[in-house]
Amino acid sequence: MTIRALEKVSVGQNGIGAFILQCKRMDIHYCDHSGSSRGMNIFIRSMLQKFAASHPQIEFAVSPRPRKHPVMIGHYINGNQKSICVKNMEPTEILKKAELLRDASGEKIKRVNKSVKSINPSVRGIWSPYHGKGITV
Amino acid sequence: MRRISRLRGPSGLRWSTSCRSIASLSSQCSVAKAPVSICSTTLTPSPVAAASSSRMYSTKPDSSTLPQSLGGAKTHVPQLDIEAANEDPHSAETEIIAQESWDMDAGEPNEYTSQTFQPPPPRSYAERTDEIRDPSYVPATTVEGLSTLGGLEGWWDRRENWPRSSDFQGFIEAKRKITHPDSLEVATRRALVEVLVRKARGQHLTEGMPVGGKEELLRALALDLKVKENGEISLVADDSAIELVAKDLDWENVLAKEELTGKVPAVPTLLPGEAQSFKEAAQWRARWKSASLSEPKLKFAVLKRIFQLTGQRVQDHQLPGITDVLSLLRTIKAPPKPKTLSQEIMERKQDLVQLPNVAFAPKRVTRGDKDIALGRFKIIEKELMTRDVNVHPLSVGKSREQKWLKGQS
Repeated sequence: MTIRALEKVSVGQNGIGAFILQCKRMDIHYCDHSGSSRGMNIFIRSMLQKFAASHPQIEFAVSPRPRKHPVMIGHYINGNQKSICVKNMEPTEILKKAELLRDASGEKIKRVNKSVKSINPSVRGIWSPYHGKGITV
Repeated sequence: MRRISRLRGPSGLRWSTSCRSIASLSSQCSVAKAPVSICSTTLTPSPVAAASSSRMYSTKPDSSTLPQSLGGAKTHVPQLDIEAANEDPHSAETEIIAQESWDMDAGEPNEYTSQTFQPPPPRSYAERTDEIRDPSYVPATTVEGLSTLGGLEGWWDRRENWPRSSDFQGFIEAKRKITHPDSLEVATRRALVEVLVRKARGQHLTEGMPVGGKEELLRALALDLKVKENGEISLVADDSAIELVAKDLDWENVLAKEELTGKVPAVPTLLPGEAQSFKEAAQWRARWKSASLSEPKLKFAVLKRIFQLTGQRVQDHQLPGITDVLSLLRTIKAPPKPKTLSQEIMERKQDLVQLPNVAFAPKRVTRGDKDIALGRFKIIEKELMTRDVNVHPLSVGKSREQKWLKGQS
């Protein structure tokens, strides 16, 4: 008698059917006077409007943090948050960091050993010793 | 060899107290038994100077035009010589030499020109026991029962001892920087007219000018201006009208007038609504704004007067860009730079502010703000109130130091 695994109808994957951005909120902190916030201030003045308008699903909270380096903090729907210090960065570099936060899943960064990772079950199914004719013990 | 003694110059106060020997001063502390020698040169405190004298911060070089209250102090130095002669006749010569050296070194002694405070009354001394003629007098042996006269405690803290006339009066007449375009335009016109009046009269352009009341302001604005093709500007008015404005700009006249009629509140420029209606009614020639300010002295005098009237100070780096009245008006009418990024965004980047997913905080967002945003603070507040604990532990009242700095108790 062979054992047959239950067939899975579908596996939930973000982006198949619907895509939900994992980043839900982005805190943007700057300082009015510090030189390290120069790039951030320019980013807020000139680039934030376009970036925020193109991502209506993310909430942007801009607030000053006097005498501190500029920081961007991404909040994710899994409850995690990721912060990046953007001191002394140019506005274009800060935009790239914002895109990084946007694209992040919020998961912890893990080491990947395998070159291929798949969630699809093998077409051959799970091996079992009772496969085929069975083994006579 | 003649020895020049150390000068007891006019570094002190005009109302110097009595000159006495050291022995007499030391004897004050104990029961007065030692002989007391008083030179009886106590000066009575001079009356508080007129209110107008406190204005003498102007750059007026000629001392002859100063009010009388400033001239009275000249007699101070000879007084010292008399004192010295009384004290020690042998040192008179050295004092005179010292006086000469003072005059040579310092040019003019730094005299107190006006009374800026009410000095304490001169000391009075009780009669010595051996000079008392009253036979019924019995010297006290204990402190008990003696009346206390008090000293100078708190004298310098009392407001009545610091007359209002001695309060600092700054160069700028406007209490706050005037920013309304119409008021600034009126002030500019007035400044230009007044400087041109000074120029027409051959007077010093940048010499301090009194601000005057509304009458003076309207009198200056009544003068017409004419601008040539090359931008040269001149006054178009009768000599009598120019004379009147010139009188308004003369400190001597103004002070004399104030003495007669009392001080008129200064009106640096018109209020915004008044200025607009005045401009419309006056119908100034449009070309007056093209008047050239390429002459540095004229430009500086006009800018100085505008600074005095409106509090608008043109920065040094902006000076080369001001070539005519139009560029001057553009400079002073320009709104000030926003101080913070949030201010700038609120004022100039409405498209960013109006995005529904963007929130701007003008100040730092604290933990308390986050609690309030989440609604957590209501629970915290309730729990604190049940325990009778201060709900706002971090809220601090106004600092006491601010009061002290203002001189309030």
